[in-house]
Amino acid sequence: MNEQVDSQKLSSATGGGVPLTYVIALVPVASVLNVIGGTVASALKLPIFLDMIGTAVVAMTLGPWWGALVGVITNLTLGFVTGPVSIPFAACNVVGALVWGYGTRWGWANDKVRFFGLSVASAVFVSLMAAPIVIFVFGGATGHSSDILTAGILASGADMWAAVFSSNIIVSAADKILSSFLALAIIGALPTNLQVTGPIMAQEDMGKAVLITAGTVVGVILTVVSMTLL
Amino acid sequence: MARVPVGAYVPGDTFFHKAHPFVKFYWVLSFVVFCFFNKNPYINYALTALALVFVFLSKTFPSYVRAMVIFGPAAFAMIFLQSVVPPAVFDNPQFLSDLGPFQLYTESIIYGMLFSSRILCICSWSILMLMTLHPASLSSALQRAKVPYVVNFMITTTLQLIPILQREFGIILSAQKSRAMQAQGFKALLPSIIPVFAGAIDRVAQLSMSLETRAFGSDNERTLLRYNKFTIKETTLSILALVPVFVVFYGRLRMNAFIPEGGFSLTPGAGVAIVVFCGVSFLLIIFGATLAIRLFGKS
Repeated sequence: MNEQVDSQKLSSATGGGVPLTYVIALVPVASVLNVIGGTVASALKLPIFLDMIGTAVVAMTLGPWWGALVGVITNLTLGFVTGPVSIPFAACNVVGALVWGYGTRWGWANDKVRFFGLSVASAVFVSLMAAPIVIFVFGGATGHSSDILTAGILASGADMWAAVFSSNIIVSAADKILSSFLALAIIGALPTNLQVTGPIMAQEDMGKAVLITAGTVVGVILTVVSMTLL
Repeated sequence: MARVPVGAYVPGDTFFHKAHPFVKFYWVLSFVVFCFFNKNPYINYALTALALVFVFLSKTFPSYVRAMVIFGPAAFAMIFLQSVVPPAVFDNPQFLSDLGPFQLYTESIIYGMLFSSRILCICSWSILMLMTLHPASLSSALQRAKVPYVVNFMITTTLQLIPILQREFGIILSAQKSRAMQAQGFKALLPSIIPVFAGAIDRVAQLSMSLETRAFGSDNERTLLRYNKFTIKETTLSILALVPVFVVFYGRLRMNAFIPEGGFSLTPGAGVAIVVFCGVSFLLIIFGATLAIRLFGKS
């Protein structure tokens, strides 16, 4: 009986218009998309993570806290699969979900410029969350190829905090912008009655998305280099 | 073809496979606490070696090596990065030697070794647990631990779907390669990722329909196919898992967190050798990841 009451609560939490079973099916699949994104990034030797695409999809369609649940389940499951190293990064996934979810709710996903701003905001907030985890839990290195960037920035005389945050924001900017646009493509393929968080713009040409990402990353790199030199 | 996820269950009939999931979980948790409060990296390395002995006993060594290939770069990078950073958190650090643009200090190297030993130790014990823990036992244990049924279902479904979608991605990537399409870099991203995502969305619809037809949310009590009873033996083993926690807190209070009285010491040659070895190993693993996977990744 209690579970039936819980089910009604879950359904009403998504605006009542989304079947509960669809939500329960979408959350694990979105978590797997996060995991697969990581597999794709490593298989194609991309210097990014791609491990928050599912989180972005669910946060933008069902709401920020459903996205946060996807984030927690992703990292918890990865903890069961590859060991506990990924578990602390659940906090980053939650922060990303909240930015995407509330951003969509506040109308930042229905226009190209605002959507780009939302993607950059998610990159910044996720990096702000990731840097302390990388430093306090992992001592500044996680074995990702971005550690080479960290070492390079350290060699230029920056301290550990600046080095870790700088390398993280460069990778994160590329990662979150691409993830946001990939999420748009997936949302375009989902039933429209799932979009209960807020209006979401139509899918963008991925060629343009890659160009936007490259431009942003170059901008971030130039900013980091100029700040390091100054 | 994509590999089965590392650290996943390895079938077997050893003591570790038969142990109750909660007991294994308590021991891993106990070692996590120990590693984070102990400040002597050599003790963590010794515990890692002990885990390795148990890995041999549980006959899961090949899977263990495959899993640890992922953590190798992290362990080396931690030592290298901490070693090249000026030791701001230590009073009167002991200067060892210059290495190119970097100045090496004993405390920095030991600090890096401490971080790397923590990760190696925690990962070794938790991977041992994961390799001997059947997913169905995990699900049953979560249900017994009063984890909400919906959350338990989501975690279990995620665990089941990961190898399936990884295999699909492997097939798609192989198909792209056989058609002479690029299989590396950003250009390969869309042709390989979109079919996987399209398949995943189809799966959502199918799964949702299956849940509807199988009365998901019914309040009948579920029966468990695999569940080990929690007997007096399990209770004793669980209580014994508190020993490492007591030892480390005693060490923190009475034994200076296991740091030797005169502090740690390294010769300049040893310090430089450690840092160079870790830096070169990290770069070799990062740039030679394909080779490493080819060497160790075959099951």
